[in-house]
Amino acid sequence: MDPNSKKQQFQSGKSLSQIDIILEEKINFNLDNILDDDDQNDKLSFSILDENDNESFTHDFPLKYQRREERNFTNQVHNKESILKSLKLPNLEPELNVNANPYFKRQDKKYNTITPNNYPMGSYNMFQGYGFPNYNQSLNYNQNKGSQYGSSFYGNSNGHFVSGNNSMSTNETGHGMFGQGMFTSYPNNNNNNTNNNSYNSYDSQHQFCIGSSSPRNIPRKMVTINELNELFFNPDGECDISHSMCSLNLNPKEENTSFSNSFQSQNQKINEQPTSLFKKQMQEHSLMNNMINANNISNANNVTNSMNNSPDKSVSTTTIRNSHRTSYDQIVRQEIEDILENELNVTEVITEQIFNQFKGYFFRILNTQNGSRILQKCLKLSPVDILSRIFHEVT
Amino acid sequence: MYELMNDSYANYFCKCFYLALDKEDRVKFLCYLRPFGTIIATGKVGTYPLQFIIENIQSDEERYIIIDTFKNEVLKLSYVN
Repeated sequence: MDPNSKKQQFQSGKSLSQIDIILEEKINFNLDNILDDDDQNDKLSFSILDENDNESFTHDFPLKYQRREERNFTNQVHNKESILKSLKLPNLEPELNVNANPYFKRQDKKYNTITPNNYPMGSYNMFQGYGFPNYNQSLNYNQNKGSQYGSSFYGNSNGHFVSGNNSMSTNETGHGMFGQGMFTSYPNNNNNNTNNNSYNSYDSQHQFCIGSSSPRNIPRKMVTINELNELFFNPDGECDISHSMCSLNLNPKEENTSFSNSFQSQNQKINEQPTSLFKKQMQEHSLMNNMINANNISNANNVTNSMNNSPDKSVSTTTIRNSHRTSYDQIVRQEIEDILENELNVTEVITEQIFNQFKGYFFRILNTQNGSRILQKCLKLSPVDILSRIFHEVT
Repeated sequence: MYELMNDSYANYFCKCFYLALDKEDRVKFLCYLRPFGTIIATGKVGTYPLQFIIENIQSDEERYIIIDTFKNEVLKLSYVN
């Protein structure tokens, strides 16, 4: 068969989705035939046409090279993945190699703690998983796929974190979790070294801000690197995002004080804070609210009980974290009960505002005697669209 | 919904909730309960809101879902203590 006709057949304009069929049915045959040709300068052109018959992708196989490697290439022809690799086709669904980054490998406890020497600059989207994806195209991936939580840092090929513009210096800060700087790094002003390798080490005095930087009414906390370790890693050396819950309970007036020493006082101050602050927190961090599930509550309650029984109140990091979670949940529960009793019980209408306040908590409210009774009363007068939203939430 | 139907407090809410929903959501409501129909029907709590729902079926679609849920389960349900 004429190689040119095969070549034309190759260029017959298959869509990208049909490439598997092309590879399986056409490429083997075509390559074998063309490889028999004596023309050393011939090329096998591969093209993919879009709907308008424009070439969306082209690639030329230099046959001279193929002859040199004929044996290997022929073997590769039968391997679809190899063909795809050699074609350098656009990676439509990139795999995230979460284990490639050495800093957060769960199996290797050596890297499971943040130390002043290995903690890189910037802010981190902890929702990316236990390891940040070591993925060279991750910036595009992040933009295209739309990371819900804002900018974040990724590992480069060396396993180091790099920033979005690949040029973070020690004088820059970044934003990460929840898109508003849940976990923001502030440079140490005494350290004027600028590292162009997109990787900066921190000393033990370097301070990180935990908590949202915007809006301003959400409290923040400055912590050192060791305190950060305690926050985000459990005693087994595993990164645990749920520990970040305590960031919501940080008192803005407590900035620049020792984090671990202020835990107990914070617990007291949280209870003294006006409940309206937590109303706002509930609305603005509904995502975070959803993270509190029934298991967390029961665990936290158990921990609180053990805290109350301990005479010296010296508790482990995990205990402290859970106690924060408990405090937060207790306040939220109190808040919900107040709204139920004082607003819903009187008006008997579930408004948009109340729905937003209760969002994420309906299931638990319905499991209580009072909550179920009051919500039941409100069904008659509440708008149907609100009821529909409640239905979608509880299902 | 299955858990709410079997909850000692939430089951009262479920009864009223079903009536308050519009037609489309009511069908979805039954679809969510469909895999758990037998369990709810034999439960000490869930059976009462289920009876209420069956009594208050308003459309053919809802009726069809209920029939389809229990059409092969009648014998099994009749033997449950």
